[in-house]
Amino acid sequence: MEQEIIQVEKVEKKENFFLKRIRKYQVLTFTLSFLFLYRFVGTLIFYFAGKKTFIENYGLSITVFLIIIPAVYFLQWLIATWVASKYTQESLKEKFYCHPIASIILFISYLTDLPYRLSESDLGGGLFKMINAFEIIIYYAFISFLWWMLVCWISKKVWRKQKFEWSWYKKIIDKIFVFFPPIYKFILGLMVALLIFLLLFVLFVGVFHYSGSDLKKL
Amino acid sequence: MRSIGKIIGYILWIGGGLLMFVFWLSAMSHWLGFLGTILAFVLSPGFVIFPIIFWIVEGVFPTFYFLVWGIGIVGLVIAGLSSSND
Repeated sequence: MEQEIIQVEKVEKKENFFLKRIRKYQVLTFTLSFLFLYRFVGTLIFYFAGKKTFIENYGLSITVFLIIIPAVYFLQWLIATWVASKYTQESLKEKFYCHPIASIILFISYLTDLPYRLSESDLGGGLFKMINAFEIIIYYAFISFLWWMLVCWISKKVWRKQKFEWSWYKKIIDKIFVFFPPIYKFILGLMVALLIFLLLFVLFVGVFHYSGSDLKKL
Repeated sequence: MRSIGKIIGYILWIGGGLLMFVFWLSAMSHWLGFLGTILAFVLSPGFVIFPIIFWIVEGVFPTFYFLVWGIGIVGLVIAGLSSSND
């Protein structure tokens, strides 16, 4: 009996590291899976349709692309979930409370620099522009978050006691923690929904050879 | 995750419904002018028999109408599956 329990525990412990992380960080996993599928499948479709993709832009072969892209996104997921595992919502909030100056400065620098980051990239058009911009915003936010962590760590080493404490700042942080998750989910959901809409539309058009003759009558 | 599923499902469902309504509104105003626009709001339950009328009047099958209807149903299924896991 005991052996069975130990075995069950072992199985639970083994309950795959990846499955455990996927279950714990569902939104993060969903975001990266969506971006990966968008990039991977989208590029393959464009590649086989004979259109110019970033594979040609970077002089890559299709085999390298097939290996590198999944590996890169998987690595990103590992890093992102590892960073996320370092904090709970409460501990992250506390860290924001403790480092108001660093948070404000890094947030302003993120906002001011973001337009340049977006203008540097070829975003395409329509829905693709929206998704590409979303991807850049997410990556740049993550990088800024890592910088913020580093600055907080240094500041904790230099100034051991918290010097500033503002109630208005705390209120803003509280509000961000309340409103940010649903807003983020809505934006992500909207983009996925629009992409599904587009894909289904293209699929229907292809299957039924739809030419828009009914719309032309209106 | 489930909340994202619901958001995706409802956006597809509501988006599909809105496009169906725009199609119906355009057809009604095309046929009856301003009166048609008003009637489109009043007779919106006529959604169901509208494709048959459109087919008879215009002589073209309203593929777009069914296409967005289908997408709306897909959305409803996604929303339903996401809700059933609650």
